[in-house]
Amino acid sequence: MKQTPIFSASNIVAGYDKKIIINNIDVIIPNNKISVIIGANACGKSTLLKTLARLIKPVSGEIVLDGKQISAIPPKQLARVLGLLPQAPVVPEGITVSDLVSRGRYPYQNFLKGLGKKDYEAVEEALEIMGITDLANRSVDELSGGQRQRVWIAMALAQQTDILLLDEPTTFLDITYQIEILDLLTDLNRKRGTTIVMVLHDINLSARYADYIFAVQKGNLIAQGEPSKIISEELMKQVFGLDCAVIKDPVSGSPFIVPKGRYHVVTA
Amino acid sequence: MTNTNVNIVRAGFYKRRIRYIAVTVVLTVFTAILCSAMLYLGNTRYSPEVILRVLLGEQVKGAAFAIGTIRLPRMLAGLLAGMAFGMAGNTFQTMLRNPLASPDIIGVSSGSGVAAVFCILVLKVSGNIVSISAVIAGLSVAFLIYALSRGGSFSGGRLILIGIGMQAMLNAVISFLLLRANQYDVPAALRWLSGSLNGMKMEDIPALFIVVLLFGCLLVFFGRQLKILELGEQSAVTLGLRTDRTRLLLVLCAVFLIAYATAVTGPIAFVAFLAGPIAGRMAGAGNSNTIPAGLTGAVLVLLADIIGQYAFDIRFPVGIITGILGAPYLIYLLIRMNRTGGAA
Amino acid sequence: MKVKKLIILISASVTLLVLSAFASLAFGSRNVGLKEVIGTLFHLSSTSFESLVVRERIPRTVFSIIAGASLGVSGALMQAITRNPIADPSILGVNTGASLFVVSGIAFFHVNSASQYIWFALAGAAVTAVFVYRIGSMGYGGATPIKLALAGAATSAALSSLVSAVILPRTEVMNAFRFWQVGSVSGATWEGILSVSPFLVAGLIIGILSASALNALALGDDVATGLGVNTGLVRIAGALAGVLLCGATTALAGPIGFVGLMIPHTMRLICGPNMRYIVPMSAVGGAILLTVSDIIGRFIGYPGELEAGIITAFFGAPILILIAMRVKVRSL
Repeated sequence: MKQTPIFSASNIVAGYDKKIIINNIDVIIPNNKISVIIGANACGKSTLLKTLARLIKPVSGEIVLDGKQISAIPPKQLARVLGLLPQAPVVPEGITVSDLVSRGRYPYQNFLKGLGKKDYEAVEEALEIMGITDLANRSVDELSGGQRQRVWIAMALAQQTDILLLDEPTTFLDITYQIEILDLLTDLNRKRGTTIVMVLHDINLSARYADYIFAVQKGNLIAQGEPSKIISEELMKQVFGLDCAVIKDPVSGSPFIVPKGRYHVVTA
Repeated sequence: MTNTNVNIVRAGFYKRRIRYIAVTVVLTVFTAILCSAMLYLGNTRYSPEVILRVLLGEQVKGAAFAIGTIRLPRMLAGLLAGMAFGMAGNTFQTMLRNPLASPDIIGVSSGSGVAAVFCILVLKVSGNIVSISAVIAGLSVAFLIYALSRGGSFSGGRLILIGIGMQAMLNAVISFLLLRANQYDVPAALRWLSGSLNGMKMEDIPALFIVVLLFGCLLVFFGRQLKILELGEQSAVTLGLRTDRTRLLLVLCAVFLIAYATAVTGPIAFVAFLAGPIAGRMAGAGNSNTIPAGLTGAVLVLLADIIGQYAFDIRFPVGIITGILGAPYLIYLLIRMNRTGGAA
Repeated sequence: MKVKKLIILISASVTLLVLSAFASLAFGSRNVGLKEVIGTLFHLSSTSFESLVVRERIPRTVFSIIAGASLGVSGALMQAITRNPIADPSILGVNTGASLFVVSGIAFFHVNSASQYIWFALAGAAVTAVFVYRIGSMGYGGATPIKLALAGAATSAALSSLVSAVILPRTEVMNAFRFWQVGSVSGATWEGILSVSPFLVAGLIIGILSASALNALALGDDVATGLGVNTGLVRIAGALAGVLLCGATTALAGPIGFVGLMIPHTMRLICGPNMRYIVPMSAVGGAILLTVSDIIGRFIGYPGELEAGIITAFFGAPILILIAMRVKVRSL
């Protein structure tokens, strides 16, 4: 497993159009691990991810990769280390799967050099890992949601970055596909040592698949650590304003949230 | 990794590459045929040998004038303007990810139109001044639209909507200029406005040629960047593209092409709009398609001009023919695009 | 809305309307004093030069008021039916559709009077409106502003090529059309006004009657159905009224753009989202706007005049741009 550069952010303040959404967050992304950012809607978890991915310029604070500020790293060089799968990526009409995936090789190309042997190999490997080699020459328009998501992840894989950020990669997918995508990402982390940071909606899946969790509430980072250490009734109350019980996931042994409403609560 | 799987992927890449090259070659041949036809057709038809001799600079009586002074500039203007429209349109459409977002629909051409009509009708000048002011006006309008649509983060949809608004306003100015004008100048202006290759002169050609060559080459070189921009702002940034700078450069080249060509021939309807999607359908969506789009543009203009000149009792300007030929395709495209949900 | 505000609003707008009507009678290539204007209005048989001038201006003033009112209401209806802030006859390409039919009428069927234009214009407007809306609302998300605007702009571009194809070989049509094409109220005659007014009155009545149902429609089709509104019927009635109003106006005045875009938006700002106020207020507002545009055209174009359609487009298009800048990206 090769050495992944250290990726961290300090004193980040960021938002859209002058509206501050996250204030003063410090994070150090654990190397070669899967980290998940959790939080209620509009708490700033997506903004945090986008700021890390340089899609949003922070108002203040710095994001440092391997000792260098990311704004000072040439974009293409940065793109070989840090990749992002946006929440709703745009599919060019009529494009085939392998053509789309090959666009992930852009950071490795220059003016004169087109796609070379190495690029084709990277594309083939990415397709193989995602299990979509047989779809290679199909048009992306024809694919189902789950298949499309695999194509996008394959494109991010072809980019061969050490760090991969994903913004809600399982949204709009059926539960079967959600598990499938998360398993594939875990494969990637275990086999290649890729550092993965993602935003997920589902707390229980987060707790199961994450090695490390960042909990964000109203633009502040209020807790971080291994799921089994930090997920508690108090934290859930704080983050989501929800009363719940925390039990042990019978399958994985990770913490499992059981929400409490006003009804159907059996008093012991 | 199994070998058969690798073959599937690699074979797909090669197959699409071959298709792209084949389409480009066929389009080039077709363009060449149409160019020759433009030189051959006319009141008097000269033999290929005579045409060739005229082209080589020989003074053949009668033919030298008909071919050298009338047909050749007409053919070259159609060829170059068609390429300019096709490449510029394709760039806009790909960049904004919307086949309808071509410069002739979002107001850039109208900007050049206003300047040109103003020069023709009010200042009563022609030639280079018209071209230069058309370029400046086209650029100003393009940047105004871009600046207005930036607010916060860039949005293709907003840009298109603002462009349509701008278009409406500029058309009001054109109407105003037409109405104020001397009645005798109006047919000339109207003809120009519908796009025409009539009365092209050889001295208009070199400048147009240089513009098309220079900016066309730039667009071809930046085809790879264009393909990345097509993936949307977020993916493009992630892949290490300096999006603002690239977009600026591409817009600059495209506007130069469209404005200069518009100044020479008038806004030939729908060529910028049609060339990209047609080329894309033929050559495949995985390429940046700048070259096939340029060739398709040339084919459209030349073919439409031949039809306009010889198919009816009266001679129609090329822009009207492209407009009418384009309409059914436009409708088809709108329907298909909306059905697949490809909004901006 | 509070009664007091309503009274202020009504009296203010009526005052403005009356003032602009007087101004329209008084100003022009020859300005006439207020006294003569009033004198002429009370003694229509007067034969002094001033009263002849004023009498000349009566039909165009009357027409600019009804045409403006019709366009305003037409825009309000179209925006409500399509639930789309930029629906306007000029943006939907309806005007160009009407133009094409009228031009074809002039060129191929030798029609030459307003009462004949109108059938062509109405047919053209209706066909184009339905066509553009059908295309714009296909696929995911229904008729979003951007899809509708593009469908309209593209259709418009295609139709104008056809218009050019029809008129270019025919010089006499070109001249007649050049003036009709920009949209002007100056050519109005009593005969013309009489021939279009049945359509306009019908359109206005349907528009006002359907106002409260349109309020329900604003909440979405599902909610409206839940409230007991027959959404299909309301849409058809609204669309019919909208097309009648703008088609008939276009037949007489030529395409006048953006009145239908600007006015309903302004009225929504002034009196809130209630269609029961917006529809009548758009009528008054449209009348004022078109009359004033016509007057401005006479000033700018002095000693001749500038067509009202140019003025409205020039000032109306920025409104479209403003709307585009304000709309949230997602709802595009």
